[in-house]
This record gives sequence, structure tokens and C-alpha cells, in this order.
Amino acid sequence: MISPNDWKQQALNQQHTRLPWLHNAASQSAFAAAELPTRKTERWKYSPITALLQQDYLARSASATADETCARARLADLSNASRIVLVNGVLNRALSDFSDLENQGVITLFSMSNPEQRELVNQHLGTACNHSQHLFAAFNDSMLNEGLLIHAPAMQKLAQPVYLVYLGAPQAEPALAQSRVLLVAEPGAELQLVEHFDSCGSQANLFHNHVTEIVLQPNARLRHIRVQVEDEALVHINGLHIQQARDTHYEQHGIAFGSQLKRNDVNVTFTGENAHCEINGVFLSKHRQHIDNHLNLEHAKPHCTSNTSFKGFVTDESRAVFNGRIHIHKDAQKTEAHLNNKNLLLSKKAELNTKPELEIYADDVKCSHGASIGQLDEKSLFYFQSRGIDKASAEAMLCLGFVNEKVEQIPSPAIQQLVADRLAAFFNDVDKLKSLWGM
Amino acid sequence: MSKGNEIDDLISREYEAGFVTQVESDTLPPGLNEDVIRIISGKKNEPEWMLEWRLQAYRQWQQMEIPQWAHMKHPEVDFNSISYYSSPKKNGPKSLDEVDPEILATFEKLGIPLHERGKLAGVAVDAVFDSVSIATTYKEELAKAGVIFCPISEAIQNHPELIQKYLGSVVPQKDNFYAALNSAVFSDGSFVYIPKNTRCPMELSTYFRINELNTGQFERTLIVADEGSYVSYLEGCTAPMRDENQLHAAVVELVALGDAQIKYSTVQNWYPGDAEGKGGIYNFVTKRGLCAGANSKISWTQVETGSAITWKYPSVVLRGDNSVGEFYSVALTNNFQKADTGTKMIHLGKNTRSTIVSKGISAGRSENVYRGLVRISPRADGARNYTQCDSLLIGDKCGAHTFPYIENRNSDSILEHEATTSKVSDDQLFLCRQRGIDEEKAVSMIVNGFCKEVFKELPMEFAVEAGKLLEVSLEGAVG
Repeated sequence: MISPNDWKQQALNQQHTRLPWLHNAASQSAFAAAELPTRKTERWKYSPITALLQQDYLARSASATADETCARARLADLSNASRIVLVNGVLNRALSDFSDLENQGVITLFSMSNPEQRELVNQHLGTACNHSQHLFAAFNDSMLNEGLLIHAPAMQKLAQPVYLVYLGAPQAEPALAQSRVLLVAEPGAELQLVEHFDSCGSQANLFHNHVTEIVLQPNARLRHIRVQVEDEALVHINGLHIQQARDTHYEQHGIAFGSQLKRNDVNVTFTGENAHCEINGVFLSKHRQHIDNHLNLEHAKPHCTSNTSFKGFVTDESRAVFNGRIHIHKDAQKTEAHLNNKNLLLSKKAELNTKPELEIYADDVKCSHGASIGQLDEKSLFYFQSRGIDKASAEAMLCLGFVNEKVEQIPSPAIQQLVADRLAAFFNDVDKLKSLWGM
Repeated sequence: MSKGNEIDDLISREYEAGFVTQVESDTLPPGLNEDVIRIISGKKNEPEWMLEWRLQAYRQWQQMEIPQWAHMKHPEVDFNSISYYSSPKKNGPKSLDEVDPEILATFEKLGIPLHERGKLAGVAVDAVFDSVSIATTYKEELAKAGVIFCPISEAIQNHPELIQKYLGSVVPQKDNFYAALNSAVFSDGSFVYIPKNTRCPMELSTYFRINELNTGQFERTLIVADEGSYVSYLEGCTAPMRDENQLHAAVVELVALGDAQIKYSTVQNWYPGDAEGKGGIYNFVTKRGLCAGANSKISWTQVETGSAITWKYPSVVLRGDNSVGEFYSVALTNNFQKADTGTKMIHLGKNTRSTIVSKGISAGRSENVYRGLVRISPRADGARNYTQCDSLLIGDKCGAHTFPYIENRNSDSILEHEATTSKVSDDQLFLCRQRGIDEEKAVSMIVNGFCKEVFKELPMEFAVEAGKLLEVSLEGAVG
């Protein structure tokens, strides 16, 4: 067990690795000033970071070699997409295929960027993400030595989706993998981004700290799919920070499995009027997994709308957290914001903490939130059984139906297929659901 | 009338209970130390164990820090500038005839006549003036039914066994900063005991009045409903208009044994401060009920219209199997008022049920917060919770917030939470006006409709008062 102070000192010692041409180093001071969260830190109330301190993850960077056959088997069949595969945070060219967009200057590694691109990075990095509020994002930024810039040019619709794969490979000793993405969509740009977090083999020795920043300039549109189906031994902290200018449109579909410690922060800030944000997600946890979803919507401008819907599936001895906050600033009139979180809690020893929050400082708004926690509906089970389907299968089908409502909304058949396969594997060792998948 | 004017009208509404009563009083000098506690205890002629209990609380309080987590900022309370005991000089009246006529007139003016002929029909009242209980009506009738209803200081003398058993059993001395302070210095309050299988023959009520300058009011209420009994209890409060903030830190403990029911209703109308946010009461209250036995029920209903800052969470610990907890609340804030209120429902027993209905209305520059916790423990099989929090905003300078914590550790339970925030809709107003109802009346109707679910839980006398309070508050308010 490493003490929080030692952990922080270790992290501070690595700040010199930050790319020298990166300007804004506010993250370094923000990180230096921050304290590691404890149970008394409101934002981490239900998620102790003990797992993070149990091993000396900061001792070394994770090696970037992965078994190629295994890695290829993980990839979704997105034939027309530009594929970028990062193994433990490091680009793997053999597995990737994005030369088109690389040549066009749409996708660039920070380390290979030209002066114009560097200026773009310096202009936007850390603007969507408030480092003083997000300790692990500040940590990520404070020692940033590589990143990925996605620069969608103005008034263009990118025909092929950008498919980012973050692959974890097994490590002999505890190690740290960091990754960072900055997406800047210029005015009127339109694209689709798929983020796929996966692993080859056990991740018992890995701590993955990831940040994606998205800057949508006026009229830009982004469709974002996030699939987090890594090995359950992983410690993963993920920050997604989105800034939406006027008339932008952001749509997200996500699925996340639990792991030893998984934390997902999603932060949306409206900086212009008439922007719309739609977030759909489902999280699942089993065994002794832990998953924490923190969502924050900053309605800072009038006439914006947001719609957030999350489902949770929690079983065995796992613990899940959902915290969804809608913050309507003063003068953000005519805002319409809705958020809901529906959960299935299936086991006696599982735990679920949900907290939908509304913080409203403008009067001409329509806001609502809802949360529910329940079990499988007795009447539906009876309906199945009365038609000759045994109870176990009925339960399994109802669970799958519950989760599938969100999966079916994913706007990509290839990803839907990938998720369906992973769900089958996930459900296969949940006692109640074996009958359907344990074939 | 233009919108702006109407909102101004609302903001400039008068506080009707803001007068000061001129009575000579016996007030301790400001400041707090162990000697002050000994003096308070001495004045009440308390037994040694009670003094010890207070001192223990005081020592714990000294170790504690002022809570900072609330969604509000206010000037720090200087605990050494407050006087912890104040009573009218002519203390200890044996009967109503001996009570200072000035004080009787005060309560009369507040609509709480204590005289035999003017008594509220069917409601027994305990009137508390600053730190002491002035009079309790209908004592004889209640005694006939075996019901004990008296100032808590009297109960400490006459029923020490009950006090020792139940005082602090629901809200321990060190529960929180203000509860610890209250445990150390509480001066009076009401004590109620309903014997087994008894239905209290009338509504019980306590009326609190802060009068003296620079005092804090620290009352303590303890209600014990023995097996199979029923009681309905009402609480009301007012204070004079002053520029200084005054502290009110009460503790209310309810204990419902098997099959017992307690219904606790509050209409809180402490002085809210003036239009500039100057003055007003800091209302930092700990209220908690324990459903100790099976099939017991505790129901809180509150209408919060007063106080500069309200900070209270009437809670229910559902320990008995099949026990029921309810919380119905209307909180109205105006000007610079801040209300942070809600409830905690702690489900421990099997098949426990709780219902939460909270309605917040914010106007002016006020802040209105619902903060609640629903916790289902691992052995609370079959637990059920339903929560609904709605907020109504009037004017664009106020805030309405909802912070519900839902913690579930049992897979045999169902929880639902819903919340909405909106303003009085133009469509609703249009519909009313189309039918010949003027705007002012329409808003009042809409707000009353908005609160109806809660008002219907109030006892008759209070429902009328609460309706009137809201109507006055919203005169001329058109969102």
C-alpha cells in the first residue's frame, strides 16, 4: 500500500517528461495543489481509490507490445473506418490503418505535429477540461509526452468514422498507461468518433489514465460511440470533456463494464446558444467490480437542450455509482434538460448509489431528473413462464432486454455486433443468466 | 401591472408577526462556558444526571467543527455573542391568571389564545416564549387519558425515568454540531408521552416565540408514542423583525414503538429578514424520528416560509419491520432567504416503506434546496421508496436545486425518484385568464395546486393557515 502523499510525490517527479513545446502548464500547479480524494471528498464519496494505491503503478510506464493475433481478434469490423490502435497508450502502426487521414493532417500524433498543429494544440488543450477540478486529468496533463490530435476541417463531413482502439496488454509488473486525445471540430465540421477500450489478457498490473477533450466549434456535429469492455482487473480512470459552441450537436452512445476500479467522468459545457447534447449509456458490473459514472452538464448559455439517459445493471458483489448533475447557470433561459437513470439491482450483496442533481439559477427552464432502482418485473416473469419458458431463461431474457434497449441505439451495426459478443461473455458467468449463454 | 412591478410587490410583502413585546426579562449575559450550562441547569432545578448529560454534550461540542458543506454562505455565527437563556421576569406562573398579560396578549395577537374561553377548540397548546414554556392548555383533559404533555423541564422533574430512557436515543448528543450545542444548552420545549393503546384525544401543539434581542432559542422536543398509540402534533413559530440574525437550533426526537403512529406538522414562519436580506432567523434544526417497533409510522409535514436560513432534514429511521415513514414539505423562499431542507429515510427493517413529496418555490433572490437521502440497508428486504421533488421558480434571480442521495444495498427493494423544475407556465396562465381569472389569482391558484399534495396532509387548522401564508407571500407574483 502506497500512501497518498508518496503517490503524489512520485507523480510530481515525472512532470519533467511533459512535451517542451506545450504551453499552458497550469495542470502542473493544479495537480501539485490538489489532494488525492478520500471518502470525505464529495465527488469520490462512494469510490475509494485504495485499488490505485495498492500497487506501485507509477514505478514504470507500461510496455507497448501486444500479441497481434489477440489484438486483431478484439477489433470491430469497421471496414471503412480510419483505425488508430494504441497499445497501453502507445501507437501501434502495424495494427493501425489511418494513413489517409494522417496525410490530410486530420489525425496527428503530438510528437509528429507541425508548427501549425502545435499551435492548435496549445490553443485548445485544457480548455474543455478544468484541471483544477479534475485531479487525474491534471495528472495526465502534467506529464503529457504524447497525444493524439484529431482536427476536423471546417465545413467538411468526414465520410469514414475515426476508430480509436485503446488496447491493454498484460504487464509483468505494475505499470502506468496514459493516453490523451484532443478533438477539435472546426465550424460546420461533421464526424463520427468511436472509442473502444479493450484488453488482451489480464490487466492486473495496469493503471490506465485517459482523457479525451472535445472542442466543437459553431455548427459542428459529432457522433460519439464509447465502448469500455476491458478486463476486470484493470484500474481505469477516464475523463471525457466536451465543449459545445453555438448550434453544435453532440450525440453519445456508450457501454461500460466494471473493473477493479473504473471511474468515468463526462463533463459537457455549453459555451454558445442553441446547442444540443444527447448522452445514452449503460453500465454493467458483476463479481467484485466497481464502476463510478460522474456526469456533469454545465448549461452556461440560453436555448440549449440536453437529454441524458443511463441504465445500470448491477449484480454479484459489485458496486456501482451514478452521479448526474445538471447545472443551469444564471441567464441560461429557455434551457431544456432532462436526465434519467434506471437500474437493475440483482444481488443481495451488490450496492448501488445514485444521485441525480439539479442546480438551477434561471427561471424559464424545463428540467427534470429521475432515478429508479428495482428488480426484474414479477409480472413479466410470470408472462414468460405462462408461455412455457423456464424461469432462468426468462430472467436472462429480461436482463438482456433491459441492457439491449441502449445497445440497439448504437448507430453502427459493427459495434452493435462487437457489444453483443462481449455482453454474451459478460453474462456467461453471471449465475442467473448462465442458462441462456452457457451453451 | 407589469411583470417587474408584480415581482417587486411580492418581494415587499410584510411580515405580520414582526412586533416586539415589552416585558422585563431575566437574560443571561452573552457567552458560553460550563458555568453558563450550570446556571441554566440550576435555574431549572435539574437533577445531577441531567447536568452531567449537558456537560458531556458541551465537551463534545467543543471538539466539533462548524459544518461547511451546505449549499449556502452566511456570516459565521459568533457563539459567544449569543445569550443562552432568557425568560420573562415573572417566571413560574402556577396558572394562566399569573402569566404576564403582555405575553398573553402577544400570543393572542399571533392567533394563539391561551385563555380558557378563547382556547383553540380541540388543540392543546404549549406556548414557549424565548427560553421558557409559558402555559400549557387542556392539561386536565389530557391527564384523564393518561397523556403527558408538559414542558420538558417539568418532565425532567416529574418523569425522570422516561427522559433518561429516551432523551438522546434518536439524536445523540454528538450527532452534529448544532445538536450538540442544543444538548448542552437547551432550555425548554415540549415533552409528550402517549400511553399504550391510546389515541390522543386532541391535537397537541407547541408555539415558539423568540422575543428577546441577541438570544438564541434552543428548544428540545421529545415525543414518545407507546405501543398502539396515536398522536398528532403541531408546531408553529414566529419572531420579531430585527436587523441582527438570531440563532434557533432545536432538536426534535420522535419515538414510535410497535403499531404506534406519530404525525408531526410544522408551519415555520420565523422572521425571514428584510428585502435587503438583513436580519432574520438562522434555523438550524435537527429533527429525527425512530420507528422502533413493527408496524409503526412517523409522518412529517412541514410548511417552511420563514427564516433567513433554514437548514433541516426531518428524518425517519425505519427500524421496525413494516414501518412507514413519510415526508411532505412545502418550502417557500423569497428575497435573500435560503432554505436547505429535505429528509433522510433510513430503511433498516423488512418491508419498510417511505414516501417523500417535496415542493419548493423560490422567488426574489432566494435559494431553495432539496437535499435528501434514501438508504436501504442489506437486511431491509421488500423496502419501498417513492420520492418526488418539484420546484417552481418565480423570477430569474432565484435558484432551485435538488440533491438526492440514493444508496441501495438490497436487491429486494424498489426505489423511485423524480424531480422537475419549471416556472409557472404561460399556457396555464393563459388558460386561466381565458376563463376570466385575473393573473394574480391565477398564479395563486397554480401555486396552491402545486402544493396541494402536501397541504392535504396538514391538520385542518394548519392547512388553512398555510394556504393563507402562501397567498400573502405570492400576492402579485407573476412568473
